[in-house]
Amino acid sequence: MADNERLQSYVTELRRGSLVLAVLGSLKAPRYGYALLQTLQARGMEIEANTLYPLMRRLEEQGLLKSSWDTTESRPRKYYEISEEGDGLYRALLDEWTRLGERIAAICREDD
Amino acid sequence: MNNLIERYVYDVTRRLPEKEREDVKRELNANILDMLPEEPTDEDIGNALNGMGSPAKLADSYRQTPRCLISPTLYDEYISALKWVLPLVGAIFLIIGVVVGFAQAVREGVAGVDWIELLVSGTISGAIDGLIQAFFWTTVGFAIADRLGHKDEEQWTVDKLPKELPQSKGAIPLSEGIVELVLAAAFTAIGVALLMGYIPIVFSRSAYGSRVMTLFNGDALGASIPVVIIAGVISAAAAILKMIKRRWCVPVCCLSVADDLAGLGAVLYIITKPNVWDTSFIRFMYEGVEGVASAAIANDLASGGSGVLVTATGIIAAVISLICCTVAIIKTVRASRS
Repeated sequence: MADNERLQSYVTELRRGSLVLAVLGSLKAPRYGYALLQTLQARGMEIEANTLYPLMRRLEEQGLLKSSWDTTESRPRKYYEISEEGDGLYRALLDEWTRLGERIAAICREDD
Repeated sequence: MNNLIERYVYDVTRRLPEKEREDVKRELNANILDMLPEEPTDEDIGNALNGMGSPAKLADSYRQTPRCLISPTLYDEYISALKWVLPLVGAIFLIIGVVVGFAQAVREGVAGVDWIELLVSGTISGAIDGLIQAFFWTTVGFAIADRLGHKDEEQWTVDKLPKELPQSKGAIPLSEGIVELVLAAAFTAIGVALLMGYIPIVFSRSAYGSRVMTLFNGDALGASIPVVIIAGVISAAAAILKMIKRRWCVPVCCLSVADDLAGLGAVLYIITKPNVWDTSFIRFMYEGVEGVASAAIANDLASGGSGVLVTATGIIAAVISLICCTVAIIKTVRASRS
């Protein structure tokens, strides 16, 4: 495995954990799949369609998101929005994320 | 290329459970269309779908549960179960195949080379069939156990560790014990049947067709049967002790040696008895097997006890037993030194 590939695989690992946080954090207002994809990518999250769509389904199955089909437009679309349960989890996760960042910074600073 | 999207979505959803298919289909369809311009060209569609990646992988990421027949936690146990089940079943079916093939050959009056062929093919097909069944049922059993089982696993503690470290030298694999046990039982049974004259032996193909005769004189050998049975019991005991102890220690060595000596004793006892051979067999030898000095052998057999053939057989049996005893002793000594 080339060095770059190896780095990439670890970076992907790192990102995988933060993805749920990013998705939950972006769904305070209802959004459909492709729009969310564009928003995240615009904000610098490197995420693929084939990762995001299944993730949103899974989060809904776990009760963290709720969905509804909008059939008013020319093309029916499924809109996702964060649920109450999802909101609670999101805040706890964000908290944890912040704390994690601080701890890692402390550890790595120490070893320098 | 006009229904590319439809075919792609189908290829994803067909891998998903029934109840999710419709919703995923609608959603995925909408998502893909969103990624495309108003009037997408075939090239646009192709690029978008290529970017989405393989339907198999996409379907996989939609699924909640991991996909394996037997999960990693149970897999090791599954493999070790196979390690003793398959040799056991193989040995049993091998023996059954031999006995059945034999009986069949006799019944159909097959002679000479043919019955060897019948025996071999019957044995092999029986063994293969048995092995396939054993593998299948073991796998099914574990797959079921995996799905039912261990949702609430007990907390592992130190008590659950294996009791002893394995001895690297002088270990006896479990399969060896099992195979020896089965063979001991089988050969004792066959031996007894032979002695009682139940198993006719087909000797040769000649112009007269096949000759069926009994090897041993049943009446004279009634008393030898207990000897064979005792040797068989000792053999079985040695095999069982091997399975329990699993390594070459002094008790195992003693029983193994006793087993070899008992076997030797039984063989010598039988062949040196007068009137061992059945009259039909002796007559057959008189009448001649092609190319063999038959009269001499026939006289030999009739006299019993001290003939050359008897001596030769006895010596061969003794040598084999001696070798087995020596091997057992060497293995035990090596094991104790480690």
